[in-house]
Amino acid sequence: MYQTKIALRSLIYRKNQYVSLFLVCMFGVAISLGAIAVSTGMIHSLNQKAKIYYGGDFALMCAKDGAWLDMYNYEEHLATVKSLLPASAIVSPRIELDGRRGSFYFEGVQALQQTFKGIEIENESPLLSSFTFTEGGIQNVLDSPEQKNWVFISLPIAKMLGVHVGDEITLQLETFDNILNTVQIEVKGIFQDSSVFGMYTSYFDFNFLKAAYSRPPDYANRICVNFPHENITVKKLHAFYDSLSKGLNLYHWVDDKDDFIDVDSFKVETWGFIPLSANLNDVEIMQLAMDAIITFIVVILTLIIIAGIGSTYRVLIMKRINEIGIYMAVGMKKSSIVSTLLFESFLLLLTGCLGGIILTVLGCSFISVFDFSFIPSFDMFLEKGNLCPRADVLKSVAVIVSVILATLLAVLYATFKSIKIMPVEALAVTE
Amino acid sequence: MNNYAFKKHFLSSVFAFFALSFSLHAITDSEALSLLKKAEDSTAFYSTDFTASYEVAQQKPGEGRSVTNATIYRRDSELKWTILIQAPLKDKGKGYLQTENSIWFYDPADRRFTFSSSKDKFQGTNANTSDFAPQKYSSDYTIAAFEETKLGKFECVLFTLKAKGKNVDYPQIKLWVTKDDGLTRKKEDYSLSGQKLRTTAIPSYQKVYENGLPYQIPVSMVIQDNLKGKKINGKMSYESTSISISNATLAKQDDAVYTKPYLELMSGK
Repeated sequence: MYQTKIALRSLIYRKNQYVSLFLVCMFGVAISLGAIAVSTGMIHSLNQKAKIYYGGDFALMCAKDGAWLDMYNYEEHLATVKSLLPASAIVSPRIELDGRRGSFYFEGVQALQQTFKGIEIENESPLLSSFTFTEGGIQNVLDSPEQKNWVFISLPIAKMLGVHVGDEITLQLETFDNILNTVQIEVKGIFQDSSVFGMYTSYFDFNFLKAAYSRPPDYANRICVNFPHENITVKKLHAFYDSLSKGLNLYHWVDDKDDFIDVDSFKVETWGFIPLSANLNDVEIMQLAMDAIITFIVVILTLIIIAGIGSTYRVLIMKRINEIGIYMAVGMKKSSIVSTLLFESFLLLLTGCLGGIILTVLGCSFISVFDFSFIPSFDMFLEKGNLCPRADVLKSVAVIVSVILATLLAVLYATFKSIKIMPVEALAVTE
Repeated sequence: MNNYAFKKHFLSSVFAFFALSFSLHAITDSEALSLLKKAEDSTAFYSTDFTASYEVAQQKPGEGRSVTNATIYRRDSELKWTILIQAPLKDKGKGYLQTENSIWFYDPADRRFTFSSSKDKFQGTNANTSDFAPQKYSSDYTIAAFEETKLGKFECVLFTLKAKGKNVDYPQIKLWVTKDDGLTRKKEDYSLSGQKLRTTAIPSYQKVYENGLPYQIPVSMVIQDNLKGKKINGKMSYESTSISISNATLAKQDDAVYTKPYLELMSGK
């Protein structure tokens, strides 16, 4: 179509005038998409760490008067849960203990703890594979399956104690009936990037921790379910809930874990279905804050692009009033003139957005090289100390479409104003 | 005559042998239990109140010495005690109170009482708050084993005790008690798995009289932590806390001494 040719030719002919508009669009889009990618990557890292911490996509807890959140004959319950879930589900028991009256000791140095987690590493290795180990790791444990007195500790705790993989440390804890106990354990892995989800948390062998805590062999206090390599939506979780309710006496759906745990009494054995999101209510506030900040940044940048390009284009069109007069004089319809000018600005915006995407990719690659673990408590957003931006296609497309559409509307307004002029008046204008 | 002299010598020897044997007879179970009860009773004052000045000095390897001075009031018959910290200045006015089976810690800075536990450390030292109260060696523990042994110059019975229930600081302890006076000379505290956690030595005692009756009170105690410490020049040195007891008196105190308002009042002075 001839409008396309005219628009393209005009763009190339006036490239010097359009460079600044192109740059505004490119940098505005790049910063917006970059902010979205970085925040998406941060949230993804956070969720991945939370998943390791809480044991997977959802957990099942059992409560009954006299045995609150205690589960006996856990293997029987494990079999029931497995039978009600798809084959791809990894179902694993856990024991999670309050470690605040426990400590590690190494050569006289004490390191306090918050939480002790006993896990079956054979089942949970797909989940733990996203741990960032600075020393040792899962394979270290799997290579010597007969050794049960192992532990994974966080890097800050390892630095505090001055330990490395292979060192034997003392764990002091109080058993479930408040008796002081100590056990010797070997450090088999040191992990980083955990912050609130792991700095004061340690991972032990499920049966070893149970014995140290003086609990019977058939005891657990959680059944964790994980679907590796699958994106579990809320709809799927509800489907699992419905399936499990056929074999277990499930409490009603909870969006907050405390809604189940804080119940006064359960006369009969009742199971709580705790999705990952139900553990993250405090963290969700942080996520909402991040989303709000990113949205604010994107909106401001979009407005800058619209205002900048829109107002500049209005000036440019006014300067081209002579040209518009010629188009009218040679018989070009007003709609054709509008579509030509719009297409020209569309091409400008499109190239600007494409440039912005390329700049985003380069910028994200650059930012992911730096180690940000020096920032306190920031490592829950990192992987191996680095930011790992992730594309959110939906949001990115929405930003690009908004920028293009909104700017085109601004240009359209300026264009309509200019074509109202009579051809003679347009031709009479001297630049 | 030679035959007679030989017989006399032989019979004397036999008699001496049996006399010695009787005096060195192995301690029986009931004697051991009785000795343990005596050791327990020596740590308590059920007929009166006990008041003393305590100097608690903690030595951390490589970090120097920190000293806390406190006055302690005890009424063991009612399971009550009050500890009022006098020094250093930053801790002056703080206190502990045991009453109605609860232990409270008072901080004058925020004027609040917080719940504490007998297992909690006293002012961050290696001493537990339970170290300032009567010890329940025979009430809370059973004798798993005992043997006669020597601890320095003291003839002692070494008790290996295991907790009867769960309301104890340490599930296993070893106790050296002198045979003649039933006083504790040394104690080792162990975890459930049998790891040594603390060692307490009581080198000497002082006599304090009440109504003509003597009570033995430690002059000092040294508690060594077997977990906390520091490696200095390749050698492991552990934290220790020494407790010196002076100005000990046995006389009834006002009932108000064992109340929260008393701690609040004294902290303001």
